[in-house]
Amino acid sequence: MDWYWTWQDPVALGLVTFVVGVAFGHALGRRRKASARKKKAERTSTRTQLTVLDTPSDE
Amino acid sequence: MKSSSPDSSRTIRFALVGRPNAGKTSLLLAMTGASGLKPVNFAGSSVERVESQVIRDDVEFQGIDLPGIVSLDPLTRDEELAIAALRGDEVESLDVIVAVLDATRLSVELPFLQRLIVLGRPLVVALNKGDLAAHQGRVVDGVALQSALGVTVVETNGRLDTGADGLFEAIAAAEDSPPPPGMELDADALTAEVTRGKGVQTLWTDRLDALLLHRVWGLPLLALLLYGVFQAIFLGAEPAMGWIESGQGFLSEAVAGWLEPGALQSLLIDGLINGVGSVVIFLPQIILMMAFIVLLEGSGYLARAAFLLDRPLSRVGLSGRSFMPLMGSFGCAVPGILATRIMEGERDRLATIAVAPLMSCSARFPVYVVLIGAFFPASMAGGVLFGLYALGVVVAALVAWALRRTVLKGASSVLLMELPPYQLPPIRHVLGAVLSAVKAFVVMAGTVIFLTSLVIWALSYYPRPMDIHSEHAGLRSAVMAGSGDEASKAAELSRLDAAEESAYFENSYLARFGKAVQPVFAPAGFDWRITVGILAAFPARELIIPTLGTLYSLGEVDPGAHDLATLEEGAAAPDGLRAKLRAARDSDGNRVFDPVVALALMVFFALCSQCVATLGAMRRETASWRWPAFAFTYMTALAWIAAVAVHQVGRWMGWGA
Repeated sequence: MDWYWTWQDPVALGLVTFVVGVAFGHALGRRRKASARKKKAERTSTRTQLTVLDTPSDE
Repeated sequence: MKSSSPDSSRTIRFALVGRPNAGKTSLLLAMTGASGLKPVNFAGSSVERVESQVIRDDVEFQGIDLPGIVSLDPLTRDEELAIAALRGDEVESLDVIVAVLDATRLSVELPFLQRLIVLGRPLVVALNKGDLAAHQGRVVDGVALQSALGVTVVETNGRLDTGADGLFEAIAAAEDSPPPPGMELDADALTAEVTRGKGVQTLWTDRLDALLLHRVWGLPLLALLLYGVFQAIFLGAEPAMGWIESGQGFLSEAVAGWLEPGALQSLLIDGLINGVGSVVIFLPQIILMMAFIVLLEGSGYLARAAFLLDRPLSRVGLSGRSFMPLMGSFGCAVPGILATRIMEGERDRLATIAVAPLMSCSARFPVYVVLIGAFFPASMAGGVLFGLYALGVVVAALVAWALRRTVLKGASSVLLMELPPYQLPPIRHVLGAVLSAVKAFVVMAGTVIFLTSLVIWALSYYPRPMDIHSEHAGLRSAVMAGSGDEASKAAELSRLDAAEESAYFENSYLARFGKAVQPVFAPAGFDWRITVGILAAFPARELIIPTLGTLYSLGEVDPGAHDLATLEEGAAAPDGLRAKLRAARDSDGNRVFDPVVALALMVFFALCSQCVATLGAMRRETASWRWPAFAFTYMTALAWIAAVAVHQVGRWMGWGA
């Protein structure tokens, strides 16, 4: 199918693609950060348990 | 929440600990000026820990605002959080505990302080709300309290922004001091010893409560106040909404004058200005709603309203604290969902978030107005409109009831709260909360809504087949070459332009998708054009109006043009869209719309989850995609079932057609 194009079409489509691309990249970056945080939390959990054992009771 | 970068040599971590509504959040706000804190006069308002940092004299103070606790034995999730931090079950432990004591309730606060001292950590006492205690005729002597306890006591006032400097000094000094020794104390005797004055017998808080919590007048007064608040939100927001609309119109005209018709012009006007603008238009309502919520919370009245409504709400498994978020959702579900932060029971909170979008928000209003105006006589308009609002409330009650007996099964949280004295919240607290809400909303409009508008625009604009263009170019040439005056030629040319746009739209990816999906909506009596309208309206409900306008080749139809005034004028002043909707025929020559189809469509809109902003807010408030996915699924399914039921029953009864 032939499309009816004007000079505005590539500009508009380029803008939409750019914005969608930036949003996608941003979402991907946040996912990576979240997974790094999760891994760090797992690494420190042993330390937390030790602190719990060492905590004075209020009784 | 960070207010400065940590580049100092010494770091002190302190936590503000106290009973609910002792004024911890206000105090931390006064100490650090963190903008994200929203102190309210409502016990249990802080349900998560908030951190804030400030550097003073080369020392970095890291302050933690913990949820209020009444003992060291946790009962709820927020208390667990606070107590875990106090016991040091964290990677970074606390250096100093700041016990925030409410001077108006010293005899209750002292046994709690005794439990904190037993923890054996460096401790400072912040004696808060001294002004309120003095107002009640009881002056607490901080110096006498300090010598009796052997712990540094600093008189503070978060509301009036005093005592922060002394508290910082005391915290720094306490870090190096040994923890205070445990002791036995008689709270009543010590309170009497350090307090001057007996207190006044009848306070204005008691007098106000006698009226506002009256067994007979309490609920009607609450209804009247809420009616006033919502009326003020709608009326107050109107001029600003008008300005935003004018701004949108001005921008659209400027772009239309600057750029010839084409993809870029359409992207900027239809996608960006009108797409994002249709959401930004609700900003004035959100500002007013947030300001009223802070005023009601800060004054202490919200605690009374929650108390009054606890019984009716608990019958459907919600609690008294659900009412403000649900009421707020009549304006817009986004601030309504944000307002669930004040709820402490997690199950109640999730149930409230799940049903909040069922309240008929202001975005549904234009849709109702167009369809009621087109298919119902003026005498029935008010009743149909009321019925649609009532439908949302009844379905919300049923869904909440069902949720609390299945996925959110568990004991209803008992509404146990101390009613705080009435007070006027400081203007900086109101402004802080409004600014924070505006920021969240603008970020959402600038990201999720912006992106969705662009994608919907692209899907409804492309493809642009050459044969449609050639056909209309030929017709245009024929009109130009034909006889007739310039005015009629111009009218015919503009009609051809609109018809060409309509032809492109019917052929667009969105329309193709609509035609493919239409069989799903066929039992509700919706044709492919209504289906496209519904699909285009998933980012924001009111988008169905410009979408139907484009589909019926009317050019732009402004959703804001359909207000109550046009509804009251009824069928006497039909606009183009209403007339077209009434006259619309399908390919077999049957009417597309009749009162039954219109009612089915309105019921669908009343119950369906068509709002990206709401789903985004749900995602943020529940920190998971599960709840927005659940709400979207159950609401869409309910909407479909109800729309099909309306259509099938209507046809069976012989209405419409």
